Amino acid sequence: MNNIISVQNAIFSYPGNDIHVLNDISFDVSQGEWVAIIGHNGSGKSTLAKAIDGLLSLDSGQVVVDGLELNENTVWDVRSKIGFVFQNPDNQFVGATVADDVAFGLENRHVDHATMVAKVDEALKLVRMDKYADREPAGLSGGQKQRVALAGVIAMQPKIVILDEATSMLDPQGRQEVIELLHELKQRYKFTVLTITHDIDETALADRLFVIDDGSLISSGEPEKILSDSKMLLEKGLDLPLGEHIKHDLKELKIEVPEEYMNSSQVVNWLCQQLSSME
Amino acid sequence: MSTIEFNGVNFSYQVGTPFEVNALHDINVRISDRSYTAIVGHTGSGKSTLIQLLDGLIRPTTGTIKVGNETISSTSSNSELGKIRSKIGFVFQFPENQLFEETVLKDISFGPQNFGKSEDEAIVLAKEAMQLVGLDDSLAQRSPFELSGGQMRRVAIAGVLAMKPEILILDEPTAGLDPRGQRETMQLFSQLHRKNNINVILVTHQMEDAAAFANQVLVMNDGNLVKAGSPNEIFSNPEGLIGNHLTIPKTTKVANELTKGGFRFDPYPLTLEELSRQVAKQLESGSN
Repeated sequence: MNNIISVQNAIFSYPGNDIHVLNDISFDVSQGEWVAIIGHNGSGKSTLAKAIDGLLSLDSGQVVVDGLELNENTVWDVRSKIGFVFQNPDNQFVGATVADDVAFGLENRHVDHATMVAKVDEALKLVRMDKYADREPAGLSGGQKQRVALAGVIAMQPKIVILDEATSMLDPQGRQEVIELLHELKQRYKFTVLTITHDIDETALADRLFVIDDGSLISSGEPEKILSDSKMLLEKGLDLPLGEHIKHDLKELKIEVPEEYMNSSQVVNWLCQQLSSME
Repeated sequence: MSTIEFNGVNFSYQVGTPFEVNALHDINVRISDRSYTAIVGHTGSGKSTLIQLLDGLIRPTTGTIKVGNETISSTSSNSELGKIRSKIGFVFQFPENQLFEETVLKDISFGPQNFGKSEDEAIVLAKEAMQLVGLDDSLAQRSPFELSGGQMRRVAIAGVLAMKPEILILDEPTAGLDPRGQRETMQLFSQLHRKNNINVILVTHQMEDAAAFANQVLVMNDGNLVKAGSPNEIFSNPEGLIGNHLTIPKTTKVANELTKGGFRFDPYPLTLEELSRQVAKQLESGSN
């Protein structure tokens, strides 16, 4: 498999502080993979995303993105491969209208006007926001804003999309919209996705799940494997996914439950079978 | 006493201009003293306007709002609004963005000093508030900006509590916190409500929190108060929630599916813990 991101022995501390926010982290991400990163506030997961985008430089260790080793000379080339969506949609708008905002990145790359108009139009259609092209971003709902932010990223056709808690300020409906859209876009463009999230149910959709704790990568693997480890998740201050939460509560009440990961529908089916087999 | 009554309240933005927008229509509701009320509604439903009125940040276009013995109407003076505001602590979204002082203690004691307390009195109030929110004394002289996100939010909440409000208004108080921070913050408010008799008003998108903590739920849609009732009345009726653009709590969804498969729930479960208890009971009674 082709590694699109490779992080080796990354160590980072903020100036004037001895604590290693990243404490010797190493991992590879394959081209086209969807990786979800979870960990409590302050665990180092956002710092890790910033290190990959060259927004801060490591004390030691190495980041390689699409074959380029990240350093002062390559940082702009590396960034051109990455689209970043941040937590607060209001902090990343620069355009007076939705269309201007999506065009901003293309303008910076000196794309000619006709191509730019076509690309902006296409990106807005993809996120189903073309009807809002001439609106002010400020008047949109949170979910709509993050869809516009995604359009801005898509227009640049990055190889990697990083979402840093991009859905955490949205209402449940807005969150659903953004996640579904991201899946659709990923199928179409085959980019690699890193999502940093607190929404544990969202991580079940990823190919691989990383758990970061105090600057270390303490667990990585298929979501089914990690999400069924309720003891570890609770110890690390994280939530249990819905199905596992019910299983965990039932186990505490001395009901025997299957060991393997189950989503909520599987748990419901299993419980209904148990009930009907008793009659 | 801090009973709240909305009587025929209407509110329009930019009255008398072509841009006039009617944001609230004929709101009538009573929020009794020492209750825990959740206000739910999708973005733009009018819930923020409702709490801004309650905090005296804006005046009703018509109708009155009574808080204890004070009344706000379209003609209330700023000093009358001020009287109501002194009873109310408002925790805005991302309150930690408003921290500004050099130390945690200075930041928390700013509010009481601003409302006329001496520096010494304010420090006593600030220390009490730190204890209420579970901030250790050793943090008093630290810069609030060196603290974690969850701790910064506690400092901001302590700053509101130091003013000894009778009513605490919370606007999406757990947004952006990690799961542990969310649980701890919600437990803190529940404790303030039960032990310190504070009247809590929670504005939230998290139906699970409204179901688990509130004793009254107000559902807003399109500027109207469409429903008011106990969490049980509101959340055991999923069609009513969907009709008002609200999500169904996860617990309700699971309970509905289990009911189709033969489980019976009474009372209707509002938390996963309660749901699991009732499920376990039915599985055990069958095996005996």
